[in-house]
Amino acid sequence: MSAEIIDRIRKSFASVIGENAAKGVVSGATMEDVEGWDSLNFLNLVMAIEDEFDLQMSTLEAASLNTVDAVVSYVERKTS
Amino acid sequence: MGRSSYSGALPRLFFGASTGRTATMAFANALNSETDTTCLHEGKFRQEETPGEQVLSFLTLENRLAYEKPNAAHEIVAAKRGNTLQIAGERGDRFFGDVAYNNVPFVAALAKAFPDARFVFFFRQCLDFVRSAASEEGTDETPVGWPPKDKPLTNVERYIALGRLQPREGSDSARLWDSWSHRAQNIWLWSETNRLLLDQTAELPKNRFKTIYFEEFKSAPVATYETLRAFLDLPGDMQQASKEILLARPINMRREKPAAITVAELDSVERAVFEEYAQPINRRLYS
Repeated sequence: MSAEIIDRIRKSFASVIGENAAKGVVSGATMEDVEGWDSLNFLNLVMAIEDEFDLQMSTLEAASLNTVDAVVSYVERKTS
Repeated sequence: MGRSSYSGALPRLFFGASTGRTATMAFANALNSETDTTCLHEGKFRQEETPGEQVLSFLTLENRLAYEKPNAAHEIVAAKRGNTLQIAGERGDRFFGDVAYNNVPFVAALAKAFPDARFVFFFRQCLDFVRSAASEEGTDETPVGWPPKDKPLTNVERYIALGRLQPREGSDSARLWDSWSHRAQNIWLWSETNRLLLDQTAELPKNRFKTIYFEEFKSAPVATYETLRAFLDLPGDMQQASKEILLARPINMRREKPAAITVAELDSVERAVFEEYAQPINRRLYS
């Protein structure tokens, strides 16, 4: 798992939920572990990740991003 | 009603599943007024219509993932529902359940993970569901169905839509999906959700599931609830509080009551979707 990718994901999260909450973006964390990663912010987080990595997610891809590891795997798959 | 015939050492688990808009919150509230009983609604313990405490993890996105990949349902149940008996025990409950639209793709996995659990499937007539499934305007507090195409959505509504069932990629209905009106999409949603539930009634032993029709509940709420109590083996007589909840103004009723829809009012595409997807389910449900 690339440390650079997870750093960039954390940065994307920080732009939506703040730097303090984004510290919870670590391998193994789920939506429930990260304060602010909720239904209200979910789509803003998806858009922040799309912007950071220049990606376009399908609805189903977005729906699968419910853990940090799932986000990392998705980004790795799409950017490799 | 006599004493409970349920004497298991562990709490009795039960799971309810439906399209949504089938009076499940009324059932949950009535059950919550019973002794030693908790009935969550979409994983939450609610009092009346308050947001409530999230007791079991939400399955909003997982709902669609499990539909797309049924094998994933077992992993999701292990990860998100594996602690259900423990939670019930910690609460001191003898009867513990969760009723939710997003239990539908998980029924088989839940039945396997909890071999003693019971299931309640709630059904409502197709076009009655369709008229009630989405608010035509304003924020939808209970967005169970697909909204009108041009309606602006809140982030929460859009988030819930991510997890809502829609045709599997590559299917005929997926190719046509974007051209369908939201009413046609909700006819498909009703049909597919109930197909999944009906398929489960063929798999589960008869003593493990019960079906409840919304229409039956609407005309005789207390009597219908009594049959649910018997199915779950709840002890003693029905609480007065339960009766009051069941006879009160319908919970989660939309402020503006949409007009009834008849088949004659459907446009040609909606009618074709109704004939192809809903009618086979209607025959299984109501014949």
